[in-house]
Amino acid sequence: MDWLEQELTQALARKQPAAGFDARVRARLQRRPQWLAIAAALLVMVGAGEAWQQYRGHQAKEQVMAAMRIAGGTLESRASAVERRRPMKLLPTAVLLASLSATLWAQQFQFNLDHLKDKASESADIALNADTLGIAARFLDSKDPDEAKVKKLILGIEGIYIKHFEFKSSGAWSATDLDRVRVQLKGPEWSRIVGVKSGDSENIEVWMRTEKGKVSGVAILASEPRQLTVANLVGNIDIESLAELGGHFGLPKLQKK
Amino acid sequence: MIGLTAARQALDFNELMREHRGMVFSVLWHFLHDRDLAEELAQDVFLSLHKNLRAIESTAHAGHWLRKVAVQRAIDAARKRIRRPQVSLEDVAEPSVRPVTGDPLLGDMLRRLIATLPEGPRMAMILRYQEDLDPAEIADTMGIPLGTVKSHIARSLAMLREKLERRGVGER
Repeated sequence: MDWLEQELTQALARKQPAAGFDARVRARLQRRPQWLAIAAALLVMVGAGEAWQQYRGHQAKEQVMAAMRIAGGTLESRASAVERRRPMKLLPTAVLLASLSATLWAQQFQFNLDHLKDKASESADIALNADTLGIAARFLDSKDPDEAKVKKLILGIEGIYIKHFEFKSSGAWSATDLDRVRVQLKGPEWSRIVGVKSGDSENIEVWMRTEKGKVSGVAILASEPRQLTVANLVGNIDIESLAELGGHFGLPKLQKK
Repeated sequence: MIGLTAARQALDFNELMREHRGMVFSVLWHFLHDRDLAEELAQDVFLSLHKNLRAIESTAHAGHWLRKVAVQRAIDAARKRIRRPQVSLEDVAEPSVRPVTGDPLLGDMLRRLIATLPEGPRMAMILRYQEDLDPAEIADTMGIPLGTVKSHIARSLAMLREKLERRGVGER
C-alpha cells in the first residue's frame, strides 16, 4: 500500500452517525404502522373460541397502544420544536387522529387525504371503533402506568381515527389539503382551543367539539414540511384523562390553563 | 415462546445496530457527502434489517447484508438527485497551504475529490479504502464484474495522483 492508499484509508475511515442514532431508529420502528394492516386483516378473519378472543383482545390492545404511540410521537416532535418553551394549553395531548375508512359513519369529519398516500414514504391509517376499543380496554393492564392512562381515557371514546403521513421531501402536501379538513370544523359545535404556529413550517391545531355542554370529540391537525397528521377522537372524552397523558408515550407534560 | 423469540430478536437487532452503524453511515456519507441524507438512509437500512431479521444467519452475514443494502441505497439516492455530482471538481478549492501527508486538509481534499468521481468508481473506492474489501469482495457487493472493479480503482487512483500532483501534493 503506497502513501496515497494510506492517506485514502485515513480519509475514508469509518465515522459514527450523530449521537442517539440507535434511539432514532428504535423510535421509527415503534411508529411503523405496517403491522396494523396485518392485525386488521386478522381481526376480520372468522374465528371462534377463547383463544381467538384472547388473541383479538391483545391485538385490539396493541392497536390502541400503537395509535397512542404514533400520535404521541407526532405531537412530541412538534412540541419539542414548537412549544417546549411555553406551556401547552390543556389539550394538545389529544393525540388521536382520524381517517376515511369503512367506519366513516363514526367520524365527525372527513379527511380527504387518500391522494397523499402514494406520495408518502410512510403512512398510518388507523380506524378503531367502539367495539375494538371495548375489547382493548379489557386487555389493558391497570398496573402498567401507560396502559392504565389509556384505559381510563378510552372508557368514553367511541372511535379513534388516525391519518399520518411522512414524506421524503417537503412540498408533497399543500395548504389546500388542510383547508379541506378545516372548513368542516367551522360549525358552532367546534371550537379551536389550541393553535400553535412556528414560522411557516410547523403547526398544531386542536379543535374540540361540544354537544349539550359535554365534549364529544377532538380534532387535531398537525403539520410540518415533511409530515402531516389529522386526527379525530370521537366520544365523551374525559379532558382530565387526556391531560394526564402528558409524560407518557413521549408526550410532554402538559399544564392546564 | 413468541415473547422470548421477540425479545431475543430485539436484543440481536440492537447489537447489530451498534456494531454496524458506523459502517452503514460511513458508506452513505462518503458516497453522498450529505450528513442528513446519510443519517436518514442509514436509518432506512436498519429498518430493512429489522424487517428481514429472520433471514439473517450470523453477525457476519448481517454485516455483508447491510453493506450491500447501504451500497444500493446510496446509489439509488445519488441517482434521484437533481444535481450530480453534488461536489464538482471546480468546487474543490486549491488549498492556500500545501497539505502534507497525514494532514486533515489532505484528508478533506481526498474526500472531496472522491465525491467528484462517477458512481461506480466512487463506490469502489469507498469499499476498497473504507471497508478494506478486496476487488473480488467489492465486485460481489456491487454486483459488477471483477475487471470493472479493478479498472475503477486503477483509474481513480491515477486521477487522484494527477490532481494531487497538480496541487503540489505527493510522496514525501
